[in-house]
Amino acid sequence: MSRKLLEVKSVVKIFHIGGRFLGTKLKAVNNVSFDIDSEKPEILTFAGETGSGKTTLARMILGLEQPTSGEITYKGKNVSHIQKREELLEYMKEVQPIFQNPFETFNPLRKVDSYLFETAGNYNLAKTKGEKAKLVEEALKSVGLTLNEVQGRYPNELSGGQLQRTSVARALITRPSLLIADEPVSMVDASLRMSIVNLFSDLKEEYNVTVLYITHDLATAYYISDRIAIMLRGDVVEFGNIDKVMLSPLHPYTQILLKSVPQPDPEGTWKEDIKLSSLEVKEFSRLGCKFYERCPSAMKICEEVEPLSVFRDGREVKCHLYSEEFKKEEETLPGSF
Amino acid sequence: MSLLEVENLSAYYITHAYGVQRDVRAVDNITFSMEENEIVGLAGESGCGKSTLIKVLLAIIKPPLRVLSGQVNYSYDGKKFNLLTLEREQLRKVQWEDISYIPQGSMSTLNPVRKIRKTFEDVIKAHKKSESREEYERLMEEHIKYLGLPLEVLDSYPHQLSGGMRQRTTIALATILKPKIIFADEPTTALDVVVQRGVIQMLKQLHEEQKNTMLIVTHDMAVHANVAEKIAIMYAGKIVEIAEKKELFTAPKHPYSQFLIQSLPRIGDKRRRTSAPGNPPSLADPPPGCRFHPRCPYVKDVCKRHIPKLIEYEESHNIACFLYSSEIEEGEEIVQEIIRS
Ligand SMILES: Nc1ncnc2c1ncn2[C@@H]1O[C@H](COP(=O)(O)OP(=O)(O)O)[C@@H](O)[C@H]1O
Ligand SMILES: Nc1ncnc2c1ncn2[C@@H]1O[C@H](COP(=O)(O)OP(=O)(O)O)[C@@H](O)[C@H]1O
Ligand SMILES: [Mg+2]
Ligand SMILES: [Mg+2]
Repeated sequence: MSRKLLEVKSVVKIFHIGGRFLGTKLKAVNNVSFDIDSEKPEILTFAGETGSGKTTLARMILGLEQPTSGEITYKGKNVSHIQKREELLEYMKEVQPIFQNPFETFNPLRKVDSYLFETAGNYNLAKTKGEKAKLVEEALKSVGLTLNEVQGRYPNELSGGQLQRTSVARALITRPSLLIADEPVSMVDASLRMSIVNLFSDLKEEYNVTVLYITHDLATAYYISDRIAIMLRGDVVEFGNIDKVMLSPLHPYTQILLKSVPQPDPEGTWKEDIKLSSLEVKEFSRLGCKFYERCPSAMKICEEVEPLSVFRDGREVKCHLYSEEFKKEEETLPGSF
Repeated sequence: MSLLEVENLSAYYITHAYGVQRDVRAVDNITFSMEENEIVGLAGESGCGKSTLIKVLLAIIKPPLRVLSGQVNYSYDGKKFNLLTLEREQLRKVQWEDISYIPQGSMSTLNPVRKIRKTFEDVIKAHKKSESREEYERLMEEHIKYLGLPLEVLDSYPHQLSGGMRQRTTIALATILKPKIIFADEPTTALDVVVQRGVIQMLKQLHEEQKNTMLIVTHDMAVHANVAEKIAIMYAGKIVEIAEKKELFTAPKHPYSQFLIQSLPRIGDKRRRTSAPGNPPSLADPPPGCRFHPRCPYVKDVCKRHIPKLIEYEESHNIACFLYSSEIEEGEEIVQEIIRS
């Protein structure tokens, strides 16, 4: 049996909005389960529109937020039960975040390298200044920078690319096994975007780092990922091998999402119009399928009954079009085989 | 004459710290033009000067930004003027009504403490004094409905709307007076793909109806592929290539544009992409000669000494690169007259 690096089991996160007793509940993450093998480093993407619960899921994995129910274990240990300082430190060493905007990660009045030295000091990784410098230097080297380029510099003296690389380097100082990158490229331009995602691929190949890549940029997701999970209003609606999901999507939402990706192809302009979601909260609180109102193949059952996840053609899909019950119904239709 | 003709435009951020002057050459001797009813996409890395260029084309010039040279000539409906020399009152009249702006980050034009209806009213009143209240209301509601937004947005506060809805509201506001030309700064950045598509859909619909000229700024080439007719590539404060969309995607000429196009990921293709080596230069201290020469695989001696001129290489394909022409840009020695201060 292979060992698991990360296991997310039926995780639910409910937020109470507008007061705990009078307000409404919002299920930001609804019954999400997946795991990551410790023998097989990978890049796993979580994609989906804004407000689909991606950041909430990431925060729970980082231990910054507690699941309402379900559990998250890292190397067999329940993340919510980590209490002792040493255990927490140990966990933070192995699981490191990378944030969205490099210009916000760094305080404009602080020298960039101070963040690197601080991280090297925080985790008791090095005692002397020389040891710390060595760690920092190695981390910078793995992102294609040298200490010389960043030492003594303020954030505004570096380019966006150098800054985002520096923030990846900071995360690498502790030699983590898992990087949680929440929209790390959404604020950067095309060429920088490619250099960051190439960096993730290299980290996986050369340093066996697993990357949980959260993005709405499906083109780079396709380019680097092994697996992908498509999220919609807290649900994982389709999950599996990247080629399966992105080249032959089954869920109607995945299909629309993929059709909406602008392709860098001068002939490939969209023809037909799409329907946009009206009210987020309304979709969250739907009883049946969250995509019911926008789905071109919506059926009666979708309005009231939440679909179950089923396994079809090498991926999981949460849609009544593919569920057993619906198949049975279809089989009894007169005049069909 | 073209609708917009920009000539030798230079605008720098000029700051002084500890007695040392620092010039950020965000718009550096730019010459180009835009025709009526055309959609031009402006692309380039973050920090290359796209937003600054747009601001100057709209005459939104606040210190430390200063225009050092050049003209921004508009010509439409029998009117002809250099926007940079207009008096305050004249400027106020053409801004928004004729020359409109969708700024980066949709919160900046929507007043957070006013209902959206009030913000719309303020804009209409400021420009159309003669019309009655009923007329305002009608104009506003028609426009909102036409753009497929629910009328409820008018009675909401900005924070009550989702990011995508807010962005579409900003676009509605910028176009309420049917402007001749619209400058949109990163209208789709940081929106998810489905909402992004909705915003693009809306811009195209507006273009169909109002027949306005649009300059759309984004670093996302895939967005340009879907809206622009012509694409201008900016690098370190200068325009280095302008071409028809198809030409630019299939046969980019400037080495920087080539890197840009080659590096684009496509769904269904996992071949390794590489981006241009090195980092973009600091605009406070750009390299001499061609700004791209330190990163260019074809660099020649001349590139290090002189700035290549943006020339018409083929019909509607302009390039600034010594691989295609030996013309040198004049203007390095231009007397830096100060038009505004
Ligand atoms: N602390 C919180 N309190 C209340 N609602 C929250 C909180 N954090 C997130 N949400 C809501 O949960 C939903 C999912 O948000 P998020 O996880 O940030 O999605 P994503 O990262 O996919 O955009 C959104 O509707 C958001 O408004
Ligand atoms: N107020 C300012 N003061 C000094 N420098 C500025 C100011 N605003 C922008 N800059 C600099 O001008 C250059 C161009 O910026 P900008 O036009 O915003 O680029 P883009 O829109 O292409 O990302 C950048 O180097 C930026 O740091
Ligand atoms: Mg998020
Ligand atoms: Mg900008």
